[in-house]
Amino acid sequence: LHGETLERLWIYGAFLLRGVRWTLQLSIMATLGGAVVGILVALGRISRWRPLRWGATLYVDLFRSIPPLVQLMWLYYALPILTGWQGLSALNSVALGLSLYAGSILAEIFRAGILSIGRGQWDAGRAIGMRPAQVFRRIVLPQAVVRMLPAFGNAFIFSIKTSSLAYAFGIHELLRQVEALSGFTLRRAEVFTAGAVVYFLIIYPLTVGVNRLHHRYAMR
Amino acid sequence: MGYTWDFGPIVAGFPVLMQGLLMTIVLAVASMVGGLVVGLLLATARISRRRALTAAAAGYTEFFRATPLLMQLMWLYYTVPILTGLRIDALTAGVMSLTLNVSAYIGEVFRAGLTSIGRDQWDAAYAMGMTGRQAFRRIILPQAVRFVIPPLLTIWVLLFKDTSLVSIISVAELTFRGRVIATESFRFLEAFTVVALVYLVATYPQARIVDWVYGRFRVEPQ
Repeated sequence: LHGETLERLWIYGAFLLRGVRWTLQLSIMATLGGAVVGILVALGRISRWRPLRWGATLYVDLFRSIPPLVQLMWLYYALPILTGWQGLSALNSVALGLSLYAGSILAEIFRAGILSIGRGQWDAGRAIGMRPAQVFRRIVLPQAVVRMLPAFGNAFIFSIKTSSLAYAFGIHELLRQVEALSGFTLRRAEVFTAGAVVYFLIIYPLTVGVNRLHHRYAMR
Repeated sequence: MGYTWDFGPIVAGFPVLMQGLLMTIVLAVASMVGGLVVGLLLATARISRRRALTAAAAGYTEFFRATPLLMQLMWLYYTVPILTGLRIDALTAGVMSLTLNVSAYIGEVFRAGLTSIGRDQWDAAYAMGMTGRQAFRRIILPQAVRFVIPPLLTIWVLLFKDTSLVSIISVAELTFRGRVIATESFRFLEAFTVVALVYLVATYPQARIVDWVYGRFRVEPQ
């Protein structure tokens, strides 16, 4: 390879890597934010108080029935109008939207995880004098989290793929960088193929890892 | 919060939105049919004895599952004309990418369905004096169908929502129509609220049916 070509490829690679950084940042934000939302909604779903249960069910149904792209668009326009706060960046709006969406998926994962811990664990915790909140935090949740690890990994992978929707909001994640690079190199076929390969190199090892986790800790 | 809602332009544009919904349904049905065909081919290839065929089908499946649909869509839209010299319109690119994407998931469901039926079912059928073809048609296939229907319905609901992505390459389905109404009237919030509600009304009953079918049809893998 010619020295100059090599240097140019290096620059293009760095340009795509900046997109990778935002893609990962968005997906991590979405998964962590989604975990917080998810655990609250899951607790609402199994609550004894009916309005809370209905509210949580409505949340899950709403976010699972509307395409994530439409959710993000709605939020993007609704947030400044409804909160009156104009300073919200596209990045924050999309990160919030992806978190709320991931939350609806993680809620069901948390719920299944919590319900998979047998009644006996609750009884045992209560018998040694713990309050319900203590039993939940010290006995049920730690066991549930271990069983949920594979599903949690899947949710993270799903978030990486969903983060590509940020493209539509001008955020410079991987897909946007790929398109920009294809525009100024005018080598569309090569650049888009490279972009797909980069996504594959990020996601595929994660799916292999999740499969390993699944064999070790899967919910039974 | 001094915002005054004005649904006037969206009410006026509602017939256009419904045309968009029709396009969404057409996209989902066409891609599902295509996906079932390609998925069946993939599953057959994956359980075939030819090593090369199995590897190719596995590579295809992993690739389409490990890249975002939007990436696949744009790859197809921009590179197929360059690579093949064929001009493809946005609608064709949309249906093609949805089909290819969904077929990877459907292929895995079919494969699981075919391999989930234990060896002993075949043996039992042979012991009754059935031929291989009879055993497949009367014993294996009915069980496999019960096994694959619930996950296929889940895939259908996801596909129905995924069609919204083709709005990005300007296919005039529901999301795209909503965006056009929004930009023409500057009533973004109202337009997207109505689009979201239309999706909700269209998708929620489907999701409930899927839950119900799961409850009824669940076959435990052996």
